[in-house]
Amino acid sequence: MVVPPHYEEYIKYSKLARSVYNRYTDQVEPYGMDECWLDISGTQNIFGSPEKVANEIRERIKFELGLTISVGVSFNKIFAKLGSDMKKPDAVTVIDKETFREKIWGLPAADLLGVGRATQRVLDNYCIRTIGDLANTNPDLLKSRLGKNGIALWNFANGNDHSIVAKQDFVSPVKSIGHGTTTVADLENSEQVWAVFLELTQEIGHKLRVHQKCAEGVAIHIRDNTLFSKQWQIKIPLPTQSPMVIAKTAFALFKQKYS
Amino acid sequence: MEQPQRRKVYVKVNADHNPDGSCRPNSITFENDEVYEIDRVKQKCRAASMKVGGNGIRYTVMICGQESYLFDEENGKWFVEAKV
Repeated sequence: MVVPPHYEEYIKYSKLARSVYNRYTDQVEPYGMDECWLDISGTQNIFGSPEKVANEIRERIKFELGLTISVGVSFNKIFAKLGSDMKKPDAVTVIDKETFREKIWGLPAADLLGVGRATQRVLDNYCIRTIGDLANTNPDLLKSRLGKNGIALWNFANGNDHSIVAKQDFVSPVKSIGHGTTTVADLENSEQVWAVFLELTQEIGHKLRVHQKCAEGVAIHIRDNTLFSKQWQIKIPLPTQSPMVIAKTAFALFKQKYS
Repeated sequence: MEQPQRRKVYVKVNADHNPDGSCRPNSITFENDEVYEIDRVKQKCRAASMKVGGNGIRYTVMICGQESYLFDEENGKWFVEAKV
């Protein structure tokens, strides 16, 4: 059975739920549209224990919106997220420093935030199946196979996540600015490619000026008519906002790499 | 004691919208065109209707000596939990 979605309702209830969370803290960090992290550290004298607050929020959401939520309470974001996934629906799971090993280490490694299918395939090669296996694996091995993400996952599994919950008005800094297009017809020659690059970089130059940033490198992402795609990047000698400089750099990179 | 079945019925509402943004419903016109005066508004809070679904600003009102709920969905529509 297929039913139509009601995206506007989703947005509405998402905002209403966050308004409930905001009554307890201004550190409310969304994770997707229907999940949030809340940092209620230091509010015990005002609102009571974290578990009490979690149950209160759960009841308020049910009363005001008619929705059930599952809440994870823990000493870091990773375990709080895990806890919220453990008991559903309409439940609170507490994971504290004394008991996290027995509650979490038996769970599949794939349940840990940051372990996707590709990472799980790598872990499978070393028979790392559970979060406990991950926690007890030599971090140097994880680093050699997964890079710095391997170290991060090892820390997560051992309860060493110290990332902070962002405030509700936090806007993450702009790290890259880009623009793309799918042309109405295949590009047949370099002149056509140049024309597209020149047009795209006008918008990029404008956004750089709006955000008061300068480009220090250029990356191009090309997709052909078989949907095969490739990406290359290069540094720019001098930071720039100039669309022409960016376009010329991108075009030179294209001519060098695309065959 | 078993609770009577309820159904969601959208109603016409006559209300005062005050300069401070507050709203006071004065009467509702039910689907049979009968008008019921709201004698008193006892309480107002955001709540969901557990009986018929939906949510909004729930007014606890007195109509002919009976207490009932009137929901403002905040989209221009109001509903009540009518008996089946």
